[in-house]
Amino acid sequence: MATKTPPLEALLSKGYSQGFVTEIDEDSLPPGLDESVIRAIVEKKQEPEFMLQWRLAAYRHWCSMQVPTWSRVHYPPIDFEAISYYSSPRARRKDAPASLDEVDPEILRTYERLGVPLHERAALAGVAGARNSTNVAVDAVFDSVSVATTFQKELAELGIIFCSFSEAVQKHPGLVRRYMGTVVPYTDNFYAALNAAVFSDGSFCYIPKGVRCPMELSTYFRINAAGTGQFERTLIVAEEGASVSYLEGCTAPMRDEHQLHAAVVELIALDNAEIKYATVQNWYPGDAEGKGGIYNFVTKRGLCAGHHSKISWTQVETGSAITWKYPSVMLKGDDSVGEFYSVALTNNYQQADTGTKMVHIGKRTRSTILSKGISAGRGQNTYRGLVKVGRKAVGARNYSQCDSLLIGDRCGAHTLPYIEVMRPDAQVEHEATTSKISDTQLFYCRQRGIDAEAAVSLLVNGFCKEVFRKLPMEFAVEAQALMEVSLEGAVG
Amino acid sequence: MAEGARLIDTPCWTDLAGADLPWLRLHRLQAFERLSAEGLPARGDEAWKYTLLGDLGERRFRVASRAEDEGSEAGSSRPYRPQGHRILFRDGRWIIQGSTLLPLPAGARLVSLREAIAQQDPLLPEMLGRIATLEGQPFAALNAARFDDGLLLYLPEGCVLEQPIYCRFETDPTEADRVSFPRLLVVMESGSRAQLLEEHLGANGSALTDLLVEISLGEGAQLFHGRLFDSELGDRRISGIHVQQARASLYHSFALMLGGELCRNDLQVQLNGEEASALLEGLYLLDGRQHLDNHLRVDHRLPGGRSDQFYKGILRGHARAVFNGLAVVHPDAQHSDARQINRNLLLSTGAEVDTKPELQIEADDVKCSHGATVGYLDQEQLFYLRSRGVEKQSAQALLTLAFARESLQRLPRGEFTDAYDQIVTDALAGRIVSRPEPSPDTRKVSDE
Repeated sequence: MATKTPPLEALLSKGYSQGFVTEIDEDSLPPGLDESVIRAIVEKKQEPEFMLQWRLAAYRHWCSMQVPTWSRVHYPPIDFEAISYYSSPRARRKDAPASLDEVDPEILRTYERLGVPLHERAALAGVAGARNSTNVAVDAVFDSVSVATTFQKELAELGIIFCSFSEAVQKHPGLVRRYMGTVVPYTDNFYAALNAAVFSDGSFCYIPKGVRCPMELSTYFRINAAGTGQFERTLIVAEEGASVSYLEGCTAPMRDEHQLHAAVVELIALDNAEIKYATVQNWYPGDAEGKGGIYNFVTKRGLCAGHHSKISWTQVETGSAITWKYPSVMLKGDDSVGEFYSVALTNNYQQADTGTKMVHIGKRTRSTILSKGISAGRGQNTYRGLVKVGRKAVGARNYSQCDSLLIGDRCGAHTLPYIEVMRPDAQVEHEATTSKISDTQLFYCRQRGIDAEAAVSLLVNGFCKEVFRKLPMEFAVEAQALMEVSLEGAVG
Repeated sequence: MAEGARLIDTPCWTDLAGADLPWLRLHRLQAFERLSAEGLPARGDEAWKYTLLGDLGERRFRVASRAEDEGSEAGSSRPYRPQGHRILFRDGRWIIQGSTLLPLPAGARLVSLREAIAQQDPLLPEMLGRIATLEGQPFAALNAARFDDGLLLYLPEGCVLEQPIYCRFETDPTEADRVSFPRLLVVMESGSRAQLLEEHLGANGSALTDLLVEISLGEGAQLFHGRLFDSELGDRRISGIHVQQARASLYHSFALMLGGELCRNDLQVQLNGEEASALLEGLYLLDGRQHLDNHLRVDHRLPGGRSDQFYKGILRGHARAVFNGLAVVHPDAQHSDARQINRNLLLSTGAEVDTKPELQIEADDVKCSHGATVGYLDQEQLFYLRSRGVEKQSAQALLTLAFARESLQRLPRGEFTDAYDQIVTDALAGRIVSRPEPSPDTRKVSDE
């Protein structure tokens, strides 16, 4: 294949541009986990009694569980006693910041460097920030706590609740109590139980009946403190006829040690509601030798509870040392629709075991799965999916396609689709291909004067196009740029 | 009648063929130790996720004595088409009265395993048990610990067997809870060619057959391995087929599966030489409460290998089919070509298909693809036929047969292909078409 060109070397050193550390005072709990830690978190966050009971029940259940080993990812055992389960930027005043002016300027600068617009006016005027062409309401989560949520007032006028999870627990305990844990109960899996016990913050979003959310909602997660784990929880409820589009972005500093990120995301769509959830995951992937990086062990699940509801997951996974997640949809309502569009890229020593579950329960439910895996360097990429058509899912329909692209002879691509069908009138199709980047296509590009690096990037982007198209415009541009950075050094 | 024993109970070693041979005793003991350590598949075992064995481990089975087998009536009257070497196995034992061998080319050996052991055939210590992997294969270990008879086929370099070898497996229809452990060893030197046709026929309601087949193909050797399952409902067959292939060899397996209450096949192929090819094909027609589980694994270890898994099935009643195809391309196996297809036709609301075409790829210059479909007959095709005046029932029958024939067409033309075609046509006519079910509720077939 192509030879290395000097600019490539220069680009290589650029690597992960979000890997800086913000110097601020952190208020962290000492490492270790027992019931007192959970009580301390509850006390710090002044949560009501039902939260304490729920967390303790989750913790006790977690203690009885074994670390799951069925995935195709390999890592040394995690010492759960060595992690600090709570870390927040030390507030300048005692209570939470009432407006952006009170947020530590260091943190604001951090988000500015990351290109996340926390200044509403600036975003409106279209002058600052990288993705400011349209309005995006942002909930910024810094380590364990949410530091700012923008556009809350405008959204509140429509009855939309968009705030940090902590705020939701204080202001809307009824809603939290009603929906939290209904899609992902704490008994679901090891990391979901851990999350339920110690989760510190996250986003909460409630779209009332018949409301179409006028702007993109977004959460930006940032791990900053060393030796901590990040455990956040996102809950989105779309009432009858409501619709919302939600974005999630994540970055972390470059560190030699591994950090654990175990989040839970729950989506609930009632009759005729629609939720679109997009993730651009760019946690620190570790260096070229596989040192450091985030362990991203996440449980994401949506429930199409009502008829004609729709949940759509789009994910671009380029970061993390290990990505282990399966955004799923339970298609319970009749005529509900589930979608999963994914691009997962592993380079160097990254590992990804990702995919989706589409569980058809209601009548005439439909689902589409489109997964693109790219392995380069010594990356290991696994697609693992389940399509299940239950006895009552009359006329269910699924189409799955998962393609893998291999760049280099040290990487691996694995496909494990589980298909379980109990209906004769179901139509389930699964297709998959694995191949390397086409020499003919590369040659064609090179022959027209496109250098190897650019040609690979072009072909990879073409390979992912169908998924990128599903992303909101500004994220699609970012995703494309991210692919280029992540693939650096893979060619040659 | 002797008291039966559980499958995992210690066998009576001295009753088995070659009990006095140290290497064989070691082979059996090691297998038994592995079985004792790992146990029979239990709930939660990923390889048996969709196939639960229920009380099989607790049931007491009886192995028929030699005298009983040899004394019993001649077996099934199903004709052999075309002519070939006929070997009848009853309860896993080679029955001389029911078998007819044709003259063999010089150097070729086709003998019962019991006889080969008695004569201390030098090939046995070298090959028997060297091909099968017992790890994670409890029924292969069970067979290795308890086998008593079977077959040894050896073909020297360049030897071509023109006539097929039929291995007809039957269980005594008068006895309940019989268990048998037939063992086949096929060693083919470079350039040799053969056809091995297994036929699993009629049985009573509760027999269990645990078959283990080991096949070694030398450079350029070619083996066609046909497997027909057409026994009575209630019968249980578990087989492990382990194949090792040298350079440019070809292993072509075709399984036609119609019978039995429980049928599980573990087919493991190692492409250990460059340019080796494995074609693994299957067609299943299931009804009632039949349960069929096909686990396939092909390991591409050296460059240029080719594997093609092609399984299709038609299900009715409360039948359940499991397909788990796996192609592993190891780091050095560049230019590998691995394909997997599993297509299923579900014709009733009680039937279920669980399919998992799996790829594990560690080399980059490969072509791998897999596909799986589960569904009903194509409505447009049905409509087309109906619009041309074909009755609904005939149209369904025609499309179902066409679905099945796509598999048969992959077989080499020959007399036994016609025989298979006949079996499929009869089975579809008898079992599937004559008992039409109303088309599934949501589908609005235009003629109502």
